[in-house]
Amino acid sequence: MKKIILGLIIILSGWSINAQDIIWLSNTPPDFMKDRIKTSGMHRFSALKSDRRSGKPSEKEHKYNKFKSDSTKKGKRSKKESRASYYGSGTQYVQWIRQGSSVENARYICLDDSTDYTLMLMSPTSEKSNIEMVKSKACYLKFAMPDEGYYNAYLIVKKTQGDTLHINIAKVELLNHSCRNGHHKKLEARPVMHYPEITDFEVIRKRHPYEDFHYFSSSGDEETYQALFNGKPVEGVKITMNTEKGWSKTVYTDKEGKVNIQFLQDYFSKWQELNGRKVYYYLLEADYTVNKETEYKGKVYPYVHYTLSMSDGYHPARTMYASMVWGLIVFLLVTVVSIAGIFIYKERRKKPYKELQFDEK
Amino acid sequence: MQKKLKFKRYIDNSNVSRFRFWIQIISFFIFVYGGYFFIEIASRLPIFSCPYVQGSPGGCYLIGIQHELNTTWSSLWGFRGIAILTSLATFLVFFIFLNKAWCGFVCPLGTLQDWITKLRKFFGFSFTRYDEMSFKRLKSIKYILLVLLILIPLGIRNTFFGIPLPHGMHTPFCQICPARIILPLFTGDTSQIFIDFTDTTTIIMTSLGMMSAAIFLVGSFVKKRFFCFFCPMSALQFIFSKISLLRMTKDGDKCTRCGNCYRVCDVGIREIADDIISKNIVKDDCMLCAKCVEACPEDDCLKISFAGIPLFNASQEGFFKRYGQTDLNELNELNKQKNESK
Repeated sequence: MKKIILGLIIILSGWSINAQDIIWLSNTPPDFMKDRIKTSGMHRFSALKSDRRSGKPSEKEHKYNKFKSDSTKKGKRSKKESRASYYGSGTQYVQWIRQGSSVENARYICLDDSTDYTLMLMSPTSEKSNIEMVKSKACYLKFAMPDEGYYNAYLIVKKTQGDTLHINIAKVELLNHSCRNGHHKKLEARPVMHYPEITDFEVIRKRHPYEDFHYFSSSGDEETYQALFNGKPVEGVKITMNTEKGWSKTVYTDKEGKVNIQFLQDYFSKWQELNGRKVYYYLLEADYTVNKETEYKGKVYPYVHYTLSMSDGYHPARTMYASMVWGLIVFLLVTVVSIAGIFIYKERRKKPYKELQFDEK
Repeated sequence: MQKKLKFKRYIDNSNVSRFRFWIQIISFFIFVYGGYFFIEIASRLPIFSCPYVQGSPGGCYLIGIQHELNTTWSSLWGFRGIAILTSLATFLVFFIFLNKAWCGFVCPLGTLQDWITKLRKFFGFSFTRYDEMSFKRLKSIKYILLVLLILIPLGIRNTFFGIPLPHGMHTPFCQICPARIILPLFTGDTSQIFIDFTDTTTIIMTSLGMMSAAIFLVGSFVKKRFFCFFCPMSALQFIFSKISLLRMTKDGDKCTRCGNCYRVCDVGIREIADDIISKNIVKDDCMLCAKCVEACPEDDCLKISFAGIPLFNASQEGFFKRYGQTDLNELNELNKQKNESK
């Protein structure tokens, strides 16, 4: 009888867990903020137009920023972050907090003060810096990325339900690169960073062998994701991929904690809509429950349920926008026309042979 | 002293074209396949060491400057400006040693044109030269291209006269440069043969690229060093040519205006024969191939020197050695024809 009740509890708690919508970080602004946003770079990162600046700020601006920085919930910014936002690249990038598995229709949410959440930004050199949460009509996270390379941003939300501690890890991997800075560090973009000290459970995207700062996933590409628990691969983690156009696929990690997912070409643009640089977004969800006694706010929970979300963009298939056949047609056509042109030009310049015959008689 | 003189005489009598032929082969191998052998030279080189080639051990300065200038005006006065000056300094460090000989001896695209010329000779086709008027008109194209490759990246970030330039025009010259399409073919990479349908700008730019590659091949077949005449790198090099250590000078008093130098010039620079006033005879289209020095029969009339040290001087003896009696007869005949036509 006890076993049946326990089973029912687990099923019900599982149902209630699934009923909880996943929280994730999104690069797409809500409709009412689109006018205030400017996207830049290969990855089309969003930044508020008002925050996009470079160079040294005015004295007034400096004081205002300092006041804002002092009044944030997380306290004073680190020295490096202050320097970066004031004097570095200047741009403050933003990410929105969204809830729901639908990439297109997930709602924009705001976390209130009663919610237990942690925000963390890890630089390419694994230095921690804070993320500012701006609470307005739609909450957004604001941070600077002064260095070149992959940044990892985390929003970790903890909730309890019954005997389970739910940890929602909203992770986003952001590649900060500008070709204007040169390419001397292009291979340094490759290492994948994961931080067991921030979160026990993590999913990472494995790099391709020749991946550099210019890499961007496209439809048709196969990506490998690895689930890690305390830095070690975990088998049997449920991973669901949702794309902007509604395609979804669920797979389970193998012994090495890996899954391979090929991006489906789920959208075919019309001829008039030529835009090979369009970015479509995906949301990757990972579910993992561990039977581990964990103390949280003075109470011990026998189960910890991790939900990890990771979102990024992908381009339409490269082959859709690059035509070798047309390239060859143009090449051959111009070659033939050039040869014909030269031949005609040379022929026209030829002076007709004139023979003068003298009658010597 | 005598040994020195003997060595100098040996150099002056030598066949620089043959030496150049081998240097070109080695350079081509290094700048196209060097990366496969872990050779890394530098970026910001004064030649088409094209980064689109997988095995390229370096980078062309033009791609660097186009990337760097894709920035805001305000950034130009900050660290970006310092970066631009640093890369210009890197370019100059390399350039200062070889002057325009980078084009004549090292540039892989220049070498390719010389090989196409050899192919034409093999098939027995005649070559073409521009007439004087066309020469003067066409030579300005390389300066126009140089100005555009500087202004367009700047115009992407900073609108000129309120006209926004699309991002698809980043690195505008590289997109139309034949080196981007042709040089990767030597490593078996055909990925640059394509029309990019990403947007209207990329369609136009990649189409222009394909056209320039086709025109390059056909043009080089009928005209020696066809592309060098329009090359913005050549224009950029000429701006700094006077500060270079490698120089070519002419002693006008010794010139008999025989015209040999003009006739052997692959680019067809007339001033080399006509100008008897200028001492520095390196013109904007010159590639310091030294063919003119080889063809000059007057002792010390044309000289190539490095930091004031004479390297290769024109000499009567060298001229006779290189050309031989048969070639001389042909040359004399050509001279006669020229005088008759006058």
